Amino acid sequence: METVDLKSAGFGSNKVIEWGIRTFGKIVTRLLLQADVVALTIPKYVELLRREYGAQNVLLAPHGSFEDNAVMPSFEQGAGPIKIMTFGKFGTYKRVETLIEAFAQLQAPEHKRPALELVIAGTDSPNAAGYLAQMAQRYAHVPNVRYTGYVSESDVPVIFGESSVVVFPYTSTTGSSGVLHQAGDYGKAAVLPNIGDFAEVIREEGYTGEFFQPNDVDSMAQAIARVIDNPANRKAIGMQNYRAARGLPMEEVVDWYMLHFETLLDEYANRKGKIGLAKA
Amino acid sequence: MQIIEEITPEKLTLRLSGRFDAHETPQVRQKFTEHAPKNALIDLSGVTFLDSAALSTLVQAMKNCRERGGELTLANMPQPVRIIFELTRLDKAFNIVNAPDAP
Repeated sequence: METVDLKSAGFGSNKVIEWGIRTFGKIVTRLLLQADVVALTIPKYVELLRREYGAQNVLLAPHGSFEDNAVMPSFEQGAGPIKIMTFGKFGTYKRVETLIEAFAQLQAPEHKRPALELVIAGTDSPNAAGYLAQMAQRYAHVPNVRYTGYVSESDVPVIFGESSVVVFPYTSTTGSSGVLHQAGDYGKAAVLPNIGDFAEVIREEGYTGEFFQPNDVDSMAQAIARVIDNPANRKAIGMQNYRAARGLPMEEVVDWYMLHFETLLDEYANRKGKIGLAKA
Repeated sequence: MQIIEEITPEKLTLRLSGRFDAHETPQVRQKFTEHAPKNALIDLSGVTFLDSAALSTLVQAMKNCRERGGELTLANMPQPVRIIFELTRLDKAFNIVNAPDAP
């Protein structure tokens, strides 16, 4: 709770509610810390829980890759328009205004770029019902924007596979990004906000991308342009993200967790043995 | 990353130096596949950086040794590497020693 921007996440409508949510969050955090071990995917959060809550049972664990048996993706530009894609549930800290305005800049005739398409894949956040419909209406004048609506699991490879670049139009983050791992699985270049958590994930897990300042249209347009105007850069970023995602398949993450379970069971058996000896 | 390998009937010993990351892990995995050791020792004294792919490689190596009834020992961790092990609590799972010739 200490690191979440509740206003961006759509929960900070007034100070009393914000205080209530933060207090509740701290209580829940203390309850979670009653577990034998709590695994986190960001080093900063391990340090925070150790520092603020005195927790000694927290550990850093890898996120892992979603597609254990994925075939090597193609790093070449597909046929048709260059597809700029964003994926998620929108309306709180994932917002598309800046992205659509950046896309409109990129399409300006003076740039003489090949045809572009912006694919907004996903639905409204449960806390922002009607957001995407509102955006579609507000930006109806921007051509070549496609709203896919809900994306079924079987369509996820198609959506990612057809994209040239995946954009993360986030104003804040709450930890590691599953979408970034998916982009890596499909060998996609990423355009990322220059936000602490994301930068940390990228550094720790070997991902990379072109960065923009959150809510800055020019900065985002320039970051996307550095990818779509430079195929060599797009491929290099895509390959590095693919290697990062492939680095830890889920089966190895499971082994990692199993090792912690075994350690816990050994510790438990040792404690029980000591208690037994003391009683004897 | 540089790898110095010593193999005896009892044990595989690898002395690693440099950056141990996702780009280097295939070399280490190859050594374990090639020799299929029951016991192994990895000397990390020369390692300057280690990422999650490297940690996963060590977890796999330990799992393989244990499946053969043996053990993987990690030796001579520099402080930055030890911090990563503490952060991941893998220091509690691995047999870690400071002597290079540990069993």
